[in-house]
Parts: sequence; structure tokens; C-alpha cells
Amino acid sequence: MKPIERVLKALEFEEPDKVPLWLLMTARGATELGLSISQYFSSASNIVKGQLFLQEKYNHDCVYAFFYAAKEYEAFGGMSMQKTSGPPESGRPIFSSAEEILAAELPDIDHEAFSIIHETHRMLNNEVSTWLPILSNVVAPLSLVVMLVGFEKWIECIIDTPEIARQVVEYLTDHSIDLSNRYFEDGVAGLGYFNPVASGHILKIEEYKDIALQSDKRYFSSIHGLAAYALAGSRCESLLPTLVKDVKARAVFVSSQDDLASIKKEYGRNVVLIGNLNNISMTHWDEETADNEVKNCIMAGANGGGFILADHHGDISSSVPQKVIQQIERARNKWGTY
Amino acid sequence: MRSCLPQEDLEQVIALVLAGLRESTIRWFDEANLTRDDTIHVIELVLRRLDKHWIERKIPLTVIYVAARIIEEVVERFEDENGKDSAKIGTVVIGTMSEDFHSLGKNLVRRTLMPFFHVHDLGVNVDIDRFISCAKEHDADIIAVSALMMNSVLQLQSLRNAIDDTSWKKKPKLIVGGAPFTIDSELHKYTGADAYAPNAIVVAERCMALMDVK
Repeated sequence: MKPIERVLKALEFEEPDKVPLWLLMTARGATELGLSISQYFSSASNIVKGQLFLQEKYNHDCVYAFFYAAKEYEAFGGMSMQKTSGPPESGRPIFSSAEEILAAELPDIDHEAFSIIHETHRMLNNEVSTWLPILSNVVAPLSLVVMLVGFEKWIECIIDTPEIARQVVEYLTDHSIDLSNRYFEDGVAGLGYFNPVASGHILKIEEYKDIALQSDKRYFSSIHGLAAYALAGSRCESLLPTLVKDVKARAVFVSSQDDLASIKKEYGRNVVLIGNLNNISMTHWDEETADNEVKNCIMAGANGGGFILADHHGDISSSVPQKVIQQIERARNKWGTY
Repeated sequence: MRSCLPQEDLEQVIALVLAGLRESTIRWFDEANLTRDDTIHVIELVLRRLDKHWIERKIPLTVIYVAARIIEEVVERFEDENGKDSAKIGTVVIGTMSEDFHSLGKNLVRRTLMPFFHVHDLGVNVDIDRFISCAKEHDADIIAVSALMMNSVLQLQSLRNAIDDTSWKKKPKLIVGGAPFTIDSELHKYTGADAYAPNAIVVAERCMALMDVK
């Protein structure tokens, strides 16, 4: 079975030949190609080369065209910080208050910061779209504001002036929809909709519903492709009923801290579950641990399809040992053949 | 430290803080007119209850944030009226690791440490030399570092080495915290830290343990 067939089958809640495996690696492409992080992210062809190399080396079921979350911050005028050992991160906030965002012009989806991403998508589409799904990410409005004004100011806005927070989220929603739809036009098969701030770890469910539910509903009903709700490793359990019933998300990243088996039992026929390997712990796993962790995920989530094995965050860092990643793939074959 | 306050009163103030009722909490402290020891005891109880609720997943970050703001105000009002207390149990230098501009967790920690420690807040994006020189200047007992991103976590071993390389008689202990440590409770062992705090609420307690304060 081709990887794309394997993934599509799983998305239809059927069992493919084996559990699909997504090894979501961003800056690792640079390490493996022997490039600096800044060199790597400066050209679409490097990303294409890196992703094809990683896919061939680790034999998994996607290419991950995602650059880094701060790309969206750059499109608003932010200056990302280059790192020596990981993807660039957002630097100082651009706006001094959330209210200022309402007066700002939204970046065009063809903004310079995005053009290299579109180019990467299109190049990958030409190379692999018949047999490999191309994945990418967008940052949800509720979480995008963290980079634009800083986490603390955003939390204060949510607590002290929720009506402004709601307006800001609503204002940014069109940008997220338009950017996502352009990515689908580029040939992207699936998106991660990154929204860690929505997690029950950060907000009360009432706060989420008050500020971001309408935006999320509008996003998921307006995009022309598949997006998976991603909480960047935070637990999804408390939010899941809302995501399934109201937001109508078709796929969700499950945290390693969630109880995957009980989520599978309750929601496994309604929503595709992705996860739930711990990308942080992976940095100090040995092969035996990797084997056990993969086995546990597969035992808890794979029955009947509707499950994709991946890390729970959406980035396996360069500091995860190569032998661990290779063992994850071997363990998928060992435990995850239907 | 034990308080002579009735349990009923303690439960009342805990409930006020948990509900985020700032003015009512301030009024409760004003009317209670507590000694310093009792004030600290009540704050400790509030922090413990917050931690319990956090562990049980009953409260999110926004509740803790509001509670920490209230506690900060209570302590500031107490110190305005009674003077800065020289009897604080130690000195902590805090900051986020270089190239990390995420201040929220660090600021929460500052607020929860304030009642118990002299806190020197270096802000965000702090390099190793600044942590070391500030610790030296203030004869710090503890360096507390907040790290949100894995890149920042990877720098912590260098800070550990820098502390070990000093020739000081009293070397400060290193405590770390931030989202990666919450997601992986074993991670701190790979940073050389003396302790980690899974959330901002327990930092004061963990710092007291590092200093052998019962």
C-alpha cells in the first residue's frame, strides 16, 4: 500500500495494511543534510530535499512541509530569532496590546513570508503527491495572538477584557481560513490547526467557548480540506466533546498525558486520533522504551483504523537520537500491522 | 508553621482566591489583620490548594494567573504597611534562558516566591553570565530558570556547569520549570538541575526544600 492510500484508509475509519506513521520533523532536515538552520529555512528546495531525505531514511507516511510557527508572526512584521539547534522562534511581540491588532492590516496570504512556503508545497506536490500526503500547519487565531502581543498580555486580555479578546480572535479568523485554503490549493493534503491556548491546561472551557468557539467553528466549516486540531502536546480530553460536537473537527492530536484508550472508546468512530508519543521524552528514550511506547499507542488507539501514529506535538527535535526514530518505525511495523 | 485561624476562615479565603475575587480577598486580609507568620501561612495554604486543583485538572492557567495577581497584591499591601521584611528565608535569582522571551511562567513564579524570598528578577532572554553575576552580587541561594522551548532546555546544562565552575563557598542551587518539564517529569534530570517545579505554584515549596526549610 502506498503511504497516501494507508493514510486515506485510516481517515475513513478503516484498517489499512499497517498503522500510518507520521514522523513530523522540521529543523531535523537541516541537521541530516548538514546545513545550518538559517541556510535550511532560506530555500524551498532545501526543505523539499530535507523532507524527501527524511521520508526515505525513516520510511514513514508523509512529508512535512511546515517551516515554523513564527512564519505567521513574520508576516505581521515580526523578526524571528534564529536558533542554532532548532527552528526559529518569534522574538519580541509586535503589538503592545491585543487591541492594536484590531487596527492592523492583516497580512496577504501571498506575503513574502509565505511565498517560500507556497513554493515548497508546490515543489513537493510535483514530486510526491501521487504517493505521499503533504502536511503543513497553520496557527489558530487564539494562539497566534501569543506571538503578536506576548503570552502574558494575551492572558490578561482574555481574563480582563474578554470582549476585546473575542473581537481579536474573530478578526484573525479570515486570515487563517484564507491561508489554509491557499495551502490546500498548493497541494497540501492535511493541515495541523495549532491551538495550544485552547487547551484545558490554559483556559477554562467557558473561556474557550466565549472567546474562540465561534472562530473555530467558522474555520472548520470554511476550509477546503482536512485539518487536525493540535494542542501542541497539551491534553485534549476536556475539550474533545466540544471539538467533535460543535467545532466538527475530523482529526485531533492526542497528548501523551491523555488516556488514549478511553478517548478511542468514546470518540474513535467520530474523530481520527493522531498521537500520542511524547516528543519531549523521546530525547532520552532508548530503543526498548521507543518500542514499548509505540506498542502502547497502537494497542490503545489503532483498532478499527481512524488512528495515525505520531508525536503528540508535531515536531520531533534534532536532539532525539536517530536510533530512537528508527526504532519507532520498526516498532510500527512490528506492532502495527493489521 | 501553624495558624490559630479557624479552618472555616481559611476555607473562606481559599475560596475567594480560587474564585478570583480580588477585592473580597484584599478585604478579608485587611479585616483579619494577620501577623506576618499568619499571612505567610494563609498564602502557603492557598498555594497548596491551587496545586492540588491543578494536579487534579480542576483549574487551568487563567485561574492560577488571577490567584497569583491577588497574592502579589496581598503581599505588597502587607509590606507597604509593615515594611520590607528582612526575615525572608532566602534569595532567589529568576529569569528565562537566553533567546527565550516567554515571560508568563517566570512572572507567575516571581509572584508565588515573593511572600517567602527576596526575588531578583532578571527578566527574559538572560544569558548564563548574567545569571552567575547576579547570583554572586546578591549571594543567591537559588537560581530559578523558566524555559518554554526545548532549545532553552538544552542550554540549562551549561548553566549547571557554570555554577559548578565557580569557586564560591556557597553555590546556588538550580531549579528549573516550564512546559517541557510538565510534559516530561524526567526531563530535569538531563539538565543537571537540583530540582524542578511542574508548575509555578509549587516553586516556593520546592525552593524551601532545597534550602532545608521545614
